[in-house]
Amino acid sequence: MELPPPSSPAIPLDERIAATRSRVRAFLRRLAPEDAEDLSQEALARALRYRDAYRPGGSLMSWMLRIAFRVYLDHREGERRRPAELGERDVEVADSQSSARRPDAGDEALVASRLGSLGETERDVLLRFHRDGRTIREIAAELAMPEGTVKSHLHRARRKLAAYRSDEETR
Amino acid sequence: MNDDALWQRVHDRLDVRADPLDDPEIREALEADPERLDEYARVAESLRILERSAPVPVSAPATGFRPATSFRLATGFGRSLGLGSIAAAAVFAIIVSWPSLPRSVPASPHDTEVAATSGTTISRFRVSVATTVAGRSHRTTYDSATGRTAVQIAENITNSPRPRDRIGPTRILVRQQESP
Repeated sequence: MELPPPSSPAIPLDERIAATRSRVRAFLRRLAPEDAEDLSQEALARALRYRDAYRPGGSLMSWMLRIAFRVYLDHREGERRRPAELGERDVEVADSQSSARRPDAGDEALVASRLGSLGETERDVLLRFHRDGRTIREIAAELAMPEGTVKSHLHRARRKLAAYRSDEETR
Repeated sequence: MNDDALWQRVHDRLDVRADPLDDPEIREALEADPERLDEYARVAESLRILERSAPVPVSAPATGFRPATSFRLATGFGRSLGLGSIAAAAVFAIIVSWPSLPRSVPASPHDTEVAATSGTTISRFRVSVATTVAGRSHRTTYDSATGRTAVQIAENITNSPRPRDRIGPTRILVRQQESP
């Protein structure tokens, strides 16, 4: 017997929502890697709670990504309020935290693969700005090019990063 | 808002190191099209990884050097990489100029020997210079016993691309440098 595809309306909505979990988690991991698991649970819970708002015929995945995005924005607002509540304080630094926030090999491989889609100058400008913390003016001086040209390379590089899908991502 | 207008707005925010998601129109435009959401998330992820992979040398502290583990962090700080670079340059200047600064201990093993034979006691001293600029705390410590200078850089980082959100777990990067 042939099973209906996961997106088929023949499958109960709850199951179809649950089937979006990995995609939702992947999306949230890009925005908030450390909290992706919790946020994806929250997104699924919220989708189930408001399942009546889903309009049959519309893309369930689109609906889920919107919910996940709102969950992320709420989380971000919460994180933003928290430091203000704590105020200025001494922070004891634990050795164990020193490496937790560094990109791991997987992260760096991912970015390396995306950077491979850029032209040489685009990559150079992107790295100088986002990795090395240079200003556009500094980069313009270093590369002896007008600031507008630096911006063009930078913007083009970002657009390419946005559009690039590795083989793994397209599967 | 069409794609080009949306991305121009995103670029404008990123160019001044502001969080694009603080702009309600950007949020609205992204939400209107999940494909855009996916694209934005991919860029945000790439840029976050790049920013965290800034090439700061990292090494374990040498034996005999005990790094300070407390840093005072201002609230609402922004991790401005540009200003951070200036701070790093200031710390580097301290390291480079250190040998030319007046010293109260021998600069060579021979001097130590002379002092010892004449009955003079040379006490070990440690000088620590701390600065905080744009969310990065720099502490330069010179240890006369080991003759080493160490620079600690502590910064607060979270996954948020918005600079002023970056108060969270702190990482320490320890750069160890031998005094000449």
